[in-house]
Amino acid sequence: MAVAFKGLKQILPENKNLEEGVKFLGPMLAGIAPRSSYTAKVHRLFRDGKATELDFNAVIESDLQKIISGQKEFAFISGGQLDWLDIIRPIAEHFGGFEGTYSKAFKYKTNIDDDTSYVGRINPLKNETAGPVTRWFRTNTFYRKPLVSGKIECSGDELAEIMPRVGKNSVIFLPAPYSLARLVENRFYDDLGNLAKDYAKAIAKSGPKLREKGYSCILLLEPFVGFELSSGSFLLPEWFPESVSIAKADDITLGINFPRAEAEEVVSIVEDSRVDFIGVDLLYSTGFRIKTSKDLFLGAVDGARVGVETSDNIRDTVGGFLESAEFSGRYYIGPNDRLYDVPFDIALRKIEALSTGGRVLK
Amino acid sequence: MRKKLFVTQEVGSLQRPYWLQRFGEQLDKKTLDSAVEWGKRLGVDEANELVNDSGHGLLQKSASLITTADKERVKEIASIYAIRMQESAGLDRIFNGEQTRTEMYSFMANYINGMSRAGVLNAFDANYFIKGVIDDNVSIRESGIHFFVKELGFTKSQTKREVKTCLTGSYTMADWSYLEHYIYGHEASCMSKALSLRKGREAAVMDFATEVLNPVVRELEKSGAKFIQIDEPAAATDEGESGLFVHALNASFEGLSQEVGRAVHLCYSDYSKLFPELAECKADSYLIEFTNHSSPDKFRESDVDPNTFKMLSLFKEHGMNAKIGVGVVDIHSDAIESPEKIRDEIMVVSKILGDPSLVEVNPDCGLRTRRPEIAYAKLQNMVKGAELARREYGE
Repeated sequence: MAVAFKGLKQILPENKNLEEGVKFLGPMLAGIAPRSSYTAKVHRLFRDGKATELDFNAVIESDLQKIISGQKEFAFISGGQLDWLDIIRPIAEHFGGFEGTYSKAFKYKTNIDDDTSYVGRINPLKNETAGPVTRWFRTNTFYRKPLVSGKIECSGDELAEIMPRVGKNSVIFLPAPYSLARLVENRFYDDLGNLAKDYAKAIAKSGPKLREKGYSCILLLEPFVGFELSSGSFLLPEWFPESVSIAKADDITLGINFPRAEAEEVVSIVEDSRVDFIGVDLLYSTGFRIKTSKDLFLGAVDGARVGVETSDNIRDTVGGFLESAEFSGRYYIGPNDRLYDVPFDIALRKIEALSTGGRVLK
Repeated sequence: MRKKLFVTQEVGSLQRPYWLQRFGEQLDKKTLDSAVEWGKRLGVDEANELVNDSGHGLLQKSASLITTADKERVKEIASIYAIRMQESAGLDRIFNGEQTRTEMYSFMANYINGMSRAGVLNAFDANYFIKGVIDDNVSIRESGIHFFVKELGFTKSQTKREVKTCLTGSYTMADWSYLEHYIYGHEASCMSKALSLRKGREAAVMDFATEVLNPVVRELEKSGAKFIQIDEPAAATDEGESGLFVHALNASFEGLSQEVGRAVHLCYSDYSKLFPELAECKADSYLIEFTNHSSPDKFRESDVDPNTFKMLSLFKEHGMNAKIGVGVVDIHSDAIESPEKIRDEIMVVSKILGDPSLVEVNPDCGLRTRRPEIAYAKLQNMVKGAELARREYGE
C-alpha cells in the first residue's frame, strides 16, 4: 500500500551523538564514473570492429587507475564501475529473474587471470536486450529497461565476480530497491514491494563475497525519489524502509543516497531502517532542518555541473548544513550524484576537490 | 485532389558511410568496394567521382592531396547516396539524411555563439556525444544560417520529391548543455539552487528559441523551405516544464507562414506528460517514437499491442487536429519489421485518431544506428506497410 508522502515527519530517539560534536569520516563517490574521451574513441572503434577487446580493456584500466589515484584519502574507494554501461544492466545480466539476453550472465573471454585487473567482466557492446531504451531521468543518457519475468535471486557470487579489487575499503554502487522496482518492467510480481525485497535479499546475499573482495560499503542509489518529489508525484510505499533494511549485510556499511531530493523530506523515510548512513543533497535542498540518529553523506559537489568546486565552496556548503542539522555527528562528503554526467577530466578535478575539501574539513 | 494517405519519411539522420567518416585516411578495399556497390545499387552517378578505374577518385586520394573542396564534395555525394536511398525505398518526404552533420547536438553547437565544448559523455552503449557548456548568451552565427540554407538548397536540387529540413530544438539544446552562464547569472538573486536552476533553464531555453532557432527557421522559409522539423528528444524529461517547452517551440516557429509545414519529433519519453500544455503548441505534425515502447516481445508476436498507442487519444481529447507521424520501426534492433505489422499499427492509430488523413509514417528516430542494408530494408518495409494500409482504405 502506498501512502501520500507529506515530507518532514520524524520522531527522534534520544541521540547522545548530537551533543558530542561532529566527526568527519572522509569523502567518497556517489555513483558510476565517466570514461575518458580516449576510452570513448576506443569503445567506438571496438564496436565497429576496428579495435580489439584487449585494446578496450587497456583503456578502461588506465581510466580506472586515474580515478583510484585521486581517492587516497577517501573513506571508501571506488573504481567508478567503468565497465557498467548503466547502473542496472549488470544486475539484470547477472541476477536471476530477468528476461531476454539479460538472463544469461555474459562473461568475456580473457587471458588475464589477475583479479585486480579491470577487464573482461561486462560485455561493453551488448545492445540487443529485452526492454525498451529509456532515458535516465533528466539526462541524455539511456538505459535498457530490464524485463522482470521471474523471481529475482542470486547465488551470492555474481557481484563479486564482476567487480575489480580496488582496495581494502571499497564501495559498490547499486540501485536502491525502490528505484530498481520503478526502473524495470515488472511482469512477474503482483506486488512491487516483493520485487524490491527480493532484490534487496540478493544484495544482502552478495555481501560476504563482496566483503572478501574488499567491498566494505554498499551505497544504494535512490534517484527516483528526488525525481518524483520534484514533480509532486512521490507516494511513499509502505515497504520502502523494509526493502532497504533487507539489503543490509553483516560487516558491510550500508548507505542510501537521495540525489536531487529535498534533504528534509527524505531523511525520515529511512530513519527506522537498518542503513548506517543517509545521503542528502545539499545543493538541491532548500532547507536543512534535519533530525536523525544516522550518519550522513553530504552531497556538496555537483555531479551535473561542469564547474569545479573549490575547497572553500565545499567547506561553506557543509558548514551551512552543520549549523542547522541535528544528526549522529558523523558524516562523509561527496558529490550529490554520480559523476557520470561530467567529462572525465572534470570528474577527476572534482575528486581532487573532494580530497582537498576533506582536508579542510578535518 | 485528395492528398495521399500515410505519407512516409525518415525522421532523423541516416548512418554516415564509413568512407565519409574516415575520409582523408587510407581506406581499405572493402570500404571502397562498398562505396561502389551502394552507388550502383542506388543509381548514384556521382559514385564514379569517389572511386574509379583511373585510381584518381576522391576516396583514392592520398591525404596530402585532399582539398577543402574535396571534403565538401564527398559530403555532397554522401547526401546524394542518402537521398537516393530514401527515393529508392519509396519515401515521400526527403532530406539529406544529415550527411553533412556529425551529430544532432554538438554539430548544432558549433554554429552557436556563447557555447563551447565541455567534453565527451556517454549516451548509450558505445554512443558518446560532446556536451557543450554555455558561457554567454546564445545566438546563431551567420555561418550557421548559411549552412542550413545551403544544405536545403542542395537537397532541393537533387530530388523532385517534397523536401524537409531538420533542426535540433531549443529545449533539447538547453537541456543537454551545462547552463553555467544562465544559472550563475540567476543564482545571485535567487534564494535556492532549485529556483536558480529553474530560472536559468527558462532563460536558456527561450534564448535558444528566439536567438538560435527562429532566425534559422525564417531564413529557411525565405530560401523556399516547405517543411521544417524540429527535433526535441528531451521534450518530456520534466513534466514541470511542458509549458516552457511549448512556449519555446512556438517562439521557434514564430513568423512562419502557413505554407510551411511545422513538425516536431519526440522520442524516448513519456509524451503524455506534455499534456495539457501541448494543446497550445502551434506545430501541425508530431513525429513520435512508439515501437521502442511497444511490447518487448514485439518481434515474436504478430499482434499489435494497442496500449502502445494509447496516449495518442490525448491529441483527440484535447481537440488537436495535428498529424501524427507514427514510429513503426525500431532503430535499436536489426530485426526487420514486417509490412503487415506496420500496416496493422497504422490501422490502429487511424482508429484512435478517428481520421486516417492525420496519420503519417516514420521510424522511431534516426536510423543512423543501423547499417545501410538494415536501414534500407526497414525503410522499404515501412513503405510497403503504408501501401498495404492505403489499400485498406481503397487507395
